[in-house]
Amino acid sequence: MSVNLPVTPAPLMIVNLAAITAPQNVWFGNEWSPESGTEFHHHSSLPPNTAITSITPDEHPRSSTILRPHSEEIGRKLWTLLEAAQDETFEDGMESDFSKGLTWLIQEYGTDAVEALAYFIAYEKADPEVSAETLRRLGLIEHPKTYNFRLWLLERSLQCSHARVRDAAGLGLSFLDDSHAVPYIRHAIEKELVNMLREDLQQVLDQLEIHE
Amino acid sequence: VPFVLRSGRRSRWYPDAVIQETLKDLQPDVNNKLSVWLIEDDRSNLMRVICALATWREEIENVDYILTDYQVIVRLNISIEHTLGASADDEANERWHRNLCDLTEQKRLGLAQAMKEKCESVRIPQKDIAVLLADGIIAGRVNRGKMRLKSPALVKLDRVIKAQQAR
Repeated sequence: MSVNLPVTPAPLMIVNLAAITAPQNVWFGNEWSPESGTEFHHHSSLPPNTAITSITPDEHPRSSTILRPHSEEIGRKLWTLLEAAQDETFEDGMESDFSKGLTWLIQEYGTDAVEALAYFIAYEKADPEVSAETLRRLGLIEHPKTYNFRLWLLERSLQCSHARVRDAAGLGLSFLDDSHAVPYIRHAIEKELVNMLREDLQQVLDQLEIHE
Repeated sequence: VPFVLRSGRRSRWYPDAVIQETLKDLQPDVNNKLSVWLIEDDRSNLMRVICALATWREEIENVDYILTDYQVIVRLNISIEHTLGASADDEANERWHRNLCDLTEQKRLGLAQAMKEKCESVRIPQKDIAVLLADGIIAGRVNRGKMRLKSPALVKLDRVIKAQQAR
């Protein structure tokens, strides 16, 4: 399994990659919606060369956004975790070293950890298999403080380019069982070209629509 | 004709999934054996086997499975042995669990290609799995003590059992 991550130290790597791949003055698309179809929004009031931003901890990412640098410690730990996950074969329903590490990071660092993950997943920097496993886990972890951010990341990940990542996003949303995701899943179904995945997303939609 | 069921990830069986991805679902154990389940030709034991599969997991999640004709295994000259499964459903372990043996890389590749050409790939959602497990416990088919579920999942399962019993 290969992971398209550079081999620079984690904190430096995060900043550098962001500067290269993300438009400047960009923040994660907390205004992204099925209607707009826009992944990222430019925000002219943000300072230049600010590539990594943060979403207010413990708040819904759609409600407010602040700038905050990533902690070096979180970046390094996440980097190590993602790298090690390359060698794991994941099995449904079973814990792995990766899932244990991921759960620990989220319990320890809360939204800061999810934010760092969001970067790797939304910008598709991590190996798709690892991203997919992350998204499944984000739906299973019991951690109320990060719930809204995890929900947002799962909804956002329905737009990823890898089918297995979209599938895992759908699964994560089915585990959260939150009808908030309904319009995002509807939109994903409309756009989905892989028949089997479209069926699976429809299954998730049927489940969530019961709550509406 | 009976079927052979293997649990796996449905996304690894997408038509455009590379064969290396598919092969991850056909990874034998350290003894070079691949655990599968025999499904009767009328599929009467299908849901029970799926429930059995769910009992040896640590989380209540969806179960994805791949179902293929028994003849596919025979045609590829893959040995099948009748061995006891490790699930929490003793009867299912005894009656329907099988191992595919002596899998060479070539046989695994042939199996993956043959299954990809002709198989059913199905996902049973997490909520249905929870109900299957609860019904299995209530009916006495599933030995709760042998389940591998972690405690948060057990708490959820207890809620489903109560709801099923109240029906």
